[in-house]
Amino acid sequence: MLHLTEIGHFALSLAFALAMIQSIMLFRAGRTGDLGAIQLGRISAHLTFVLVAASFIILTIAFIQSDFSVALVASHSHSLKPLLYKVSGVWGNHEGSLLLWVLILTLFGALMALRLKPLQDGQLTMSYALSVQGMIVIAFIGLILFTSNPFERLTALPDDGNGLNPILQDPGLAFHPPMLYLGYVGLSVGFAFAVAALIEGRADALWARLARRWVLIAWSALTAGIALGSWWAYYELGWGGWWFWDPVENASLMPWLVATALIHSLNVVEKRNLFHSWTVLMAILAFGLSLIGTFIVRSGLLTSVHAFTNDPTRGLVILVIILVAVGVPLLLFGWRAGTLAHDRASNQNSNQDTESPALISRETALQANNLLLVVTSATVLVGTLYPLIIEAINGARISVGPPFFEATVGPLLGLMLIVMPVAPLLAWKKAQAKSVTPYLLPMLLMTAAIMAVIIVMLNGISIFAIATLGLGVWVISGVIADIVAIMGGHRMTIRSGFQRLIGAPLPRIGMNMAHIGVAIFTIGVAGVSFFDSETITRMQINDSIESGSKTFTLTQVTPVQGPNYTAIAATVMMTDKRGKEVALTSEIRRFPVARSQTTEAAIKTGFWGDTYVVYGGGTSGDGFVIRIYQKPLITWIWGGAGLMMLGGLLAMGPRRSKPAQLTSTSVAERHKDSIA
Amino acid sequence: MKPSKLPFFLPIIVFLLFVAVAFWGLYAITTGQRNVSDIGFSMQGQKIAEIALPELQPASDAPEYLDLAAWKGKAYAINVWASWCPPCRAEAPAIHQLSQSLPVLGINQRDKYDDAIGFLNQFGNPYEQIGIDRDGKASITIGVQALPETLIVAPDGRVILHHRGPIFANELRGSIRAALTELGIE
Repeated sequence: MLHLTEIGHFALSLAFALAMIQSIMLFRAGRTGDLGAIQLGRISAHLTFVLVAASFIILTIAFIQSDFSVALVASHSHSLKPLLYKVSGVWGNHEGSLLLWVLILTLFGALMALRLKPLQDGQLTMSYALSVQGMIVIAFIGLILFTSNPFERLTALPDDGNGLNPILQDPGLAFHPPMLYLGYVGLSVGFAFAVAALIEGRADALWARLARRWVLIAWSALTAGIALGSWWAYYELGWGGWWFWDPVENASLMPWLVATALIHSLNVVEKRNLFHSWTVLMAILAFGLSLIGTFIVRSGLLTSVHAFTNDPTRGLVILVIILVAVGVPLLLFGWRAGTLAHDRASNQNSNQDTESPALISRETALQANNLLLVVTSATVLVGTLYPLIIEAINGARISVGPPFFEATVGPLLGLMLIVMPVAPLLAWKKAQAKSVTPYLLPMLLMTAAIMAVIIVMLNGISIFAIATLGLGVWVISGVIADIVAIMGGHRMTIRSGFQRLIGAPLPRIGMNMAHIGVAIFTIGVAGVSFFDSETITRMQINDSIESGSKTFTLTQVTPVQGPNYTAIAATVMMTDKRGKEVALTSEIRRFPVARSQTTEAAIKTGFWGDTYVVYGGGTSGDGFVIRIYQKPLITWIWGGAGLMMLGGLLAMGPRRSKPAQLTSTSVAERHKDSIA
Repeated sequence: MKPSKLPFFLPIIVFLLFVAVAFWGLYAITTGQRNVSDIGFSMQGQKIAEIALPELQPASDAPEYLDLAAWKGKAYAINVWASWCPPCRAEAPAIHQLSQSLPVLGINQRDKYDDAIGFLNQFGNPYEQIGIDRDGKASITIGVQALPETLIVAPDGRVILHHRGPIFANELRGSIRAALTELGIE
């Protein structure tokens, strides 16, 4: 009888063939504008997605049913696992996560096909882009079919599965990889547009406008994915850090930094028709670094906690895919980037004015931002690969730790935060001192005043803490300045100001929201890095200890039975100055199947920070080990990341609000304002 | 004047360098050349140096030591680790498995106390005893160069296996099982 997974395998093979049709047809469409080829390519892109989705659903069913005849289910699932973790088990392994990767890739392909309308501006660029997308799909389905088949069957049925790493049994991790993949894979669309530009020999304002939203959605998803991963590491790993400079974390940070640069330089292409070749390079590198990130996780090249597999042979296959996927576009880039056309006849919006911008202008500020982001990304890459490079040269094995990254990445990002709030105030082409200083002076004054209050209140804080907090406040002052500018500057009245704010283009609102997010993130980092505290103590039942402004009392230690683990739970009562009590329960869980254990910390999350209680074992004779951490402002880190993500999504809105959306009175008022 | 194309080829040159290093890194593993266990000299076949280190988690207030001299006459394994070492996290399950066959003594090298305890809380504690090697000198004394490394010591004090790098299922099935068989444990 035909087993369901065989249908899944067949669907995947069919998708492989259809992706080839998609790629070939749309390449032809890009060259000739053949409408039939466009239609065939679009249909193939949709069908590829449907087939991959079907095979993904079939694999998920095998996991839910605990079908241990499937090798992947047998080695990565267990019949005792809760349903949510059976489902997340689908992507908690190498083969399944690759299938998820392809699913998202083809989803983006299908969405691009929806946006590809024949006989429309930019249809040739879109055709080429979707053709390149198809080539990526071919490479990855090929990788699955030929090296990592998730549907492989076992002839001897095991009694039960091999469980799943208990660290992976957490909702944070169940949702973190899909979000991260949405970001990584989403960057493939920007990449496809960049390759399309190189094939067409043209990167202009229309090109930038077509690519903009795809890059923004990928960037937002990547931001959310990284934040979720960091939130998970903090919540699940018992010692309270939010970033460990692990190779895998670095692998997600590098494309994020380059994608951030890409968003800003796309803006310059669209508005000023400059930075074409640089922007194309950023788009190639953003996805290239995503691929390299995936490669680092899977190849066993560098060891990491997150590593699924240590299979150098499979790593070599992925390396060959990267060599082709990134090497060919970069070669094409070297070949054609110097001669990219900047304008096209059909595009009326194209700005023909290509005179060089002045030294003090928004262009140069954005150039500085791009360079700093790329240098930061390169620094992270060097730090991550340095142990490997040294080993290749003289065989010595070394480890590059957080001190290197903090000492190099910190100052670079600090420089960027200095420039960040100034850039939006500068005019394109050439900034006039008389239009900038009315904003710059109040910003400096506001930052100085707030910092003075903070320095007096928090007596004796370090210079680094002052600098980091100061940068956060400085960025906020810049956002306030830009909002004042939107509302009309010194000519603002309350009524017209709010009308202007409501009518402001969404991308500008989104930018300010993302920048506020960066500021809040920075302040959060300062809080955690410079003001955290910890207490470790042995306590008997009913012992009390003071930490910060709170009192902690150990009330009980009891065994607990979970669905697939047993645990010892310690409960600590936290009492604040006003006598409000909160019970915090931390557990040490033992998983018999995987023969390992994890610590579940108890966290009281608040606006001003987290209090963190961790039970560290012990007996009633010797006392129980209790660790108490205070992490001021830690939630600001994820809050800031959340605002960045929302800002990115808002920035997808239309560039200009249409006058038709405004009431006639406000149009009149606008007119009056502009005369005044 | 036509501008030079050379700068546009810089990205591909840098990229190819990356690919070369990555290719070497992987290829050297498949050929066995980059087998972390044969880099540098090996303690295999030699007598273990008798070091004594303060204990990470003493049972009482009095100072207690991990003293290799006290372990003479028994077979044991030594695993050198630190919380800041990602491969040590990766090999934690294998160390747990090893501890089912013979006692494993941990040497916690150049670590912070809290981080070390955090590591044990997260990954479990497979160690019979853990000694603190604050400056790494004791590790060097017993021939350890990098983290993680594992030594299996026979009752007469002879090192019968010196493994550099993390231990995974492969090692448990291969070299470690062979060493355990030599000791008559499996």
